Amino acid sequence: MRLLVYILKRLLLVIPTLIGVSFVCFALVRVLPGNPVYFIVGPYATEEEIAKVKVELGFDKPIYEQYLIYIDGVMHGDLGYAWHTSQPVADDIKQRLPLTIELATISLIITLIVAIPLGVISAVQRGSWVDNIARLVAVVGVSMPMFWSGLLLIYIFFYKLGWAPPPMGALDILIEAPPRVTGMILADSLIASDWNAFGSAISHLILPAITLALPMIGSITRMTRSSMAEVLHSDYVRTATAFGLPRRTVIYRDALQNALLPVVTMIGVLYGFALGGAVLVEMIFGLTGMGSYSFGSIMNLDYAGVQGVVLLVAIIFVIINLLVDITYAIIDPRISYG
Amino acid sequence: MERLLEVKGLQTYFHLRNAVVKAVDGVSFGMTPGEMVGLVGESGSGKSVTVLSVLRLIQPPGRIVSGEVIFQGRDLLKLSETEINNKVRGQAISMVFQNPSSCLNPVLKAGTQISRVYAVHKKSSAGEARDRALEFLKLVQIPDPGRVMGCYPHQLSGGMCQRVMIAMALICEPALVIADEPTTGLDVTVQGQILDLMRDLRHKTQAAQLLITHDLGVVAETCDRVLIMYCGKIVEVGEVGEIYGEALHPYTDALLRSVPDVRKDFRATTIPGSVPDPRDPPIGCRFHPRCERCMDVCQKEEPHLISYQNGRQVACHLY
Amino acid sequence: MTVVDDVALGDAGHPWWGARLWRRLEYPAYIIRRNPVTLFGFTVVVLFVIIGLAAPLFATHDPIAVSPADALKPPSSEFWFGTDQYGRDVYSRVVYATRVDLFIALSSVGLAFTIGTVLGALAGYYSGATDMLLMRVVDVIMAFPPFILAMGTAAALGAGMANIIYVVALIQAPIYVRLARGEILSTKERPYADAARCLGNSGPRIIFGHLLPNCIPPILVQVAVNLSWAILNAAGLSFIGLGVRPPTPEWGVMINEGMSFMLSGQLWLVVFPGIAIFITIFGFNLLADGLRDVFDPRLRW
Repeated sequence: MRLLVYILKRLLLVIPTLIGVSFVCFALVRVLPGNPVYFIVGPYATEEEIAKVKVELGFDKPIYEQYLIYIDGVMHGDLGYAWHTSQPVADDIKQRLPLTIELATISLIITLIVAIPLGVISAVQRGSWVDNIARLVAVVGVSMPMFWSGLLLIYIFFYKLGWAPPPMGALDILIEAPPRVTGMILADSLIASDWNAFGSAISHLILPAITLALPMIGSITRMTRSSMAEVLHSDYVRTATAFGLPRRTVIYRDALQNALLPVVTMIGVLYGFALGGAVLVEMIFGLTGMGSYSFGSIMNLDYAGVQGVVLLVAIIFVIINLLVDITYAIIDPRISYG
Repeated sequence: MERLLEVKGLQTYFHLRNAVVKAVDGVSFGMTPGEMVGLVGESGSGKSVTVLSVLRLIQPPGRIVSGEVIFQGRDLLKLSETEINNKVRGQAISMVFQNPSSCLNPVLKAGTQISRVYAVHKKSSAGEARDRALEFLKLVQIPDPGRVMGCYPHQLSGGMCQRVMIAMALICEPALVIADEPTTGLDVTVQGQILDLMRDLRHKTQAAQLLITHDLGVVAETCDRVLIMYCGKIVEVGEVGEIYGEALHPYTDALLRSVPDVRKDFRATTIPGSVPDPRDPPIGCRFHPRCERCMDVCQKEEPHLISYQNGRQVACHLY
Repeated sequence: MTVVDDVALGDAGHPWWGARLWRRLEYPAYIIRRNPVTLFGFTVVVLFVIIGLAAPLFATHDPIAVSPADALKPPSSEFWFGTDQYGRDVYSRVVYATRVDLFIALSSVGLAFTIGTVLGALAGYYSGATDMLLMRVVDVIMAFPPFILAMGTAAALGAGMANIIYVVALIQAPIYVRLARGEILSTKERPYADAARCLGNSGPRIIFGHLLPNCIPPILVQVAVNLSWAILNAAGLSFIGLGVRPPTPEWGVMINEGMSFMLSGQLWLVVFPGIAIFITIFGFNLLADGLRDVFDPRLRW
């Protein structure tokens, strides 16, 4: 019951946040100095086109009306028109979003699989060589800019060793993509049992996923380590030991369960980081996701594209954080059984 | 009667950045089965460290430097970590801590936490353990034990958490229960309830109890014998009635006098000076800077714990 | 309570200046000396600040002088890090870029820290409607993944150093707001705050003269961490073309320019600016870790 109340309250809080987000996205293009019309039609439009667009898009109307028109458009799935791809922004995004989500999710999974055990071992064997190496790796991971480590990985694994495929897209050029079901290449190739495509996709996605995962691994390892170290010194762990419970139980049942709670809350933040980092990673590896789309829009001065991506990514981020908060509330009995 | 516990010359030091804290410096005492002993001292006197050393719960930078802890014939300090974990802790010797709410795992139900102690040590089935847990919850006088089994620690009051911990401590029927300031931090009314419970349990179970506290009143009410600790050493040992009637060691005497007596005047007499820095204790008798009856020899030589009359012991140059 | 608390509490006036300041610095100085890792981080940071400030002294060539004849030369004794496609000396560009990136980092963090801390402290102390409004604004800013917001805002504002500083400051400010607000909320009910009130101190004086100085430790750690984020974000934005305008040397821009030459073997264009970023951020992170250890009483033994 209490849980339900919490969920409802949390959902309610999302609404003003989303409204605020829409304000910001709207302001990003309309309210800032410079002729916003150019933002919409691009720098190559003629006088007539500009004038027509001005009226069409309601630039002669007062600001709040423009905002309402914008919101109305968004609610109907109209995110504007990307002149550099000659498509509505919404279509562009629909095509490209799944790949970015796929990339972000894979790197998140890699991160959790590597970082959590590393952090736990690090904390349990505090001061050992494992701990010191883990801490070093973590700091290095957090300190390397993604765009640089990605390039270095390409240099080493593609150029020098020839193990990785050329950084051009998610599939080998000669392989046909599986029929589009979810838009995510790994999922689609699995569904179609197309092992060729699946294998090719994995080999293309693995380096970008690792690049995206490295800083996250660093961050989560450190966090897990400090959370675990703190829990290992807590009263209840000392009590459990005092009652003669086996060390294994104390670590995995008592300590870990409690130590991982803060890490769960980080998952949302990590996802946001991954979505942001995807811009850089997709660009370097030639993947056609939302990240490279926003990059392309920026390069072409196509602000409708940028604005659309920013809005959508923000909405996704808000939803993910909401889900994370709700999940946390479910697994922490102090909230669900208050 | 065979001695249940015999501690000889226990020394536990903490090696800090630039000093060594001699938290327990040569402590020796014994306990017989079924008796209730109080361990009294100010904060920092080393009471908690002493009992943590008995159960080998001292973490670095602390280390048990020397001594013997003979329990039921075996020296606990010589056992391996696995042995002491599996055979002694929670089974033969149990410990109850202060701040019970923080001593319970916040994400596990109370029932689970109690029953698993039994299940682990006695290798029983889950069902058996649960039944026994319920039984012991009743023993510690928790109202509606069935409901409490399914509660999380944050849903229980401090007093209830303490009862849960006591149930955990008793479930394997240990020979010795150590209670480290079990009532500090609880409401005064609840304190009384817990103490009554412990007295009651003493009759019901055969366990000996070692009660650590800084509260002389508590000891007077519940214990048979009392050990007084000061600055890492035991300064006096004796039966409660005898000590409270006439204290031998000046520190004990000062402690007893510092309790304000409503019937006389309401003023609290304090002991002049302050507790010495454990990194640099006074030479000779550690209490001598604050002692009214300090003599020359007290400043040079440390007094040893000697037997006085019929079972009493004291460490003071006056004797 | 930390050493900082002890000293500050002992002086109901201003805990900042005078002999107290030196005493307060003694312990952190000891920690920095003692732990080789922290010392290394501190040294790296100091080194980069020096290089940044005295860039002309360290550079061997003019960073923006174009020299087509020398294009794409590998590292040699003349050009320590080689040259780029315009014949510019990579080493000198990296050195001058130090100045640019450090300036961006310090300015943006300084801006975010000042505005964020002040707003957060005021909101925390006075509570009420303005507090709620500020927190909603902070929520909205934090509803965006940081880099995405930075990207969108930079795209709208246009490239250029000033804009980058504002953008990077914008995405960091909420952290300081929340941090300062949290600290003030937890300390404003403490006895010494009451004492200051009784003595007739005005609100702002209490906040900035008494409460905030005791909250410095976590804020300081955050500053060290943010300095490294700022450089990462600034370099990242410059990498995608939204940052500093060429020909100003900046590490991210240099990597972007060098990217296309990497697969034809001219790795030095990409490697050296990257190493510079890496070492600087590495240094800041180690320093932040060390500071965290300084202020965590538990880890002091």
